Amino acid sequence: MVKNLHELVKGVRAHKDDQEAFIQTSMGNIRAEIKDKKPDVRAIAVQKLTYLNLLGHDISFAAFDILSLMSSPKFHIKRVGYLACVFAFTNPQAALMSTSLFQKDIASTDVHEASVALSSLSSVATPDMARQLLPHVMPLMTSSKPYLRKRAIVCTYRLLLQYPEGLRDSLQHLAKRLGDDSSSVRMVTINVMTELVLKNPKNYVKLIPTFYDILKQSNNNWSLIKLVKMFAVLLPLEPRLSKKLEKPISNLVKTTVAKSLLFECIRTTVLGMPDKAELMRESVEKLSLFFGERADGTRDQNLKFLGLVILSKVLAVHPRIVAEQKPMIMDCLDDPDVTIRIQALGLVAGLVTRRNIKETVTRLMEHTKADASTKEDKKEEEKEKE
Amino acid sequence: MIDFVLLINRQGKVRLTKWYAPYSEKERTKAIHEVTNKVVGRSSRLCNVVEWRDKRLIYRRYASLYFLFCVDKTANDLLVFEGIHFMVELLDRYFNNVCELDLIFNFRKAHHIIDEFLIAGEFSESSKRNILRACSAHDQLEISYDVHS
Repeated sequence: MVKNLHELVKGVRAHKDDQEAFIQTSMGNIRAEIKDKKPDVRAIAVQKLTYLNLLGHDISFAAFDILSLMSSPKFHIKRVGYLACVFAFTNPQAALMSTSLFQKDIASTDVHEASVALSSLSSVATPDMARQLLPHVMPLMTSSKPYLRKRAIVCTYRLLLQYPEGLRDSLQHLAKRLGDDSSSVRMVTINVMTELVLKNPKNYVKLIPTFYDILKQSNNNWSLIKLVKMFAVLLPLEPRLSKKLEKPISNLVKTTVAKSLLFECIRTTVLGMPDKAELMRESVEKLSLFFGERADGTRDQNLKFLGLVILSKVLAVHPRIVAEQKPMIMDCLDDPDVTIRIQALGLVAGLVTRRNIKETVTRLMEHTKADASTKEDKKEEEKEKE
Repeated sequence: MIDFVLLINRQGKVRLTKWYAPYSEKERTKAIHEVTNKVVGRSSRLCNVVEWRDKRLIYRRYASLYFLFCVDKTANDLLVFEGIHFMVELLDRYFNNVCELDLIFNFRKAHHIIDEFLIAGEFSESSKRNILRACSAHDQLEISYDVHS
């Protein structure tokens, strides 16, 4: 009798004491079921294998059987195979066997077949597969269905990571998608372009005007974050860009409620426009939001940490602006989280001047007496200042 | 942007894994082990960003489950937090007040839902409605042989 997946999960949970034994027995049954003539039986066996993989078992022995499911004409069986292949095709030989199948399913007229193939291919592709399949994935970027276009775009990106030589042919097609009709396709294109730009900004200088236009028009925060991030690495390559960007970024800093976008704007200002003192000052003032109290009286540790990280970056170019935030930074020395204390310490060390050294050292000495664990760090910092 | 997604409970049991970068079977086991040790049991007073190898682990605990994304160092941490929350809300809406058991017995469905949102490690859709609509379209298509699905 073939136990379905539900029974297996229940069984594993029930056999808490002899779990390994139960799993071994089940695995034995699965090895038989996976060779069964009926595809439905094989599908259930593979579902069970996917579950056992979650518990830490290697299922790569079943790669060939999973491949046979992936070639099923029935969507629900095909899907089981495509999900499992991400967990089973962990050695290159197994993945290579599947190349022609991927090629066939990607070109399928059925949206669901093509999309499930594209998704799994992104996770499974080896450099050889990428080279062979890239020409088949690229045409889907102009499919009539946005659902497929999105998946083709991201899949292309993942294939390019495996086969970078393919960028020459695919870049223009990717760039065209920036003007796609569908907003979610545009968003996906921006995500992918961001990753590419971060890797090698000089290839994308010609796209700067396009990115600038999108920045001005878009109201999707996630896309804005990516665009601002791109500009951080593009700014050093295009001297006129700094002047043009000052206004839009200043606008975003002043008006956005999304801390994630604010964070990215400040980061870009610091990394790409260090000479814009006014913008820097506005941004750092807004940064004080990161250190403020929430409605329930607590403070957000993550925001505090990120705020301090950004201040460290500003410190290198505009120490005076950071000095205005000194009380806040000194407060962070008292924080229960050691990662925050260490960040704050770095900032304090950078803010020391001949005038305030006595006060700073006194404050630090109080800490040294109070907390032994960061004693070593504090002694180091004091020595450096001397 | 995202290398892998991990859902672990407080006892360190893995409830879901999604791999978007090439990790061999051995590397996966090792990664899960290291990441679990770093994250599970961390005090809630500490911040939710941890450096690991040359990547960053960004996580949030929801009830008994840690939702963890392993991202590049260049990623915007706050954006990733938004993404984690988005994913949790998706699961919550689909399963109607999701709990760990839902994810244990219906991990395949959870995979398909996440696949609609995270394609190859990138956030690909910002509308929950569109995602849930696509999921129910797939559900109609799929003739499942599980008793509970």
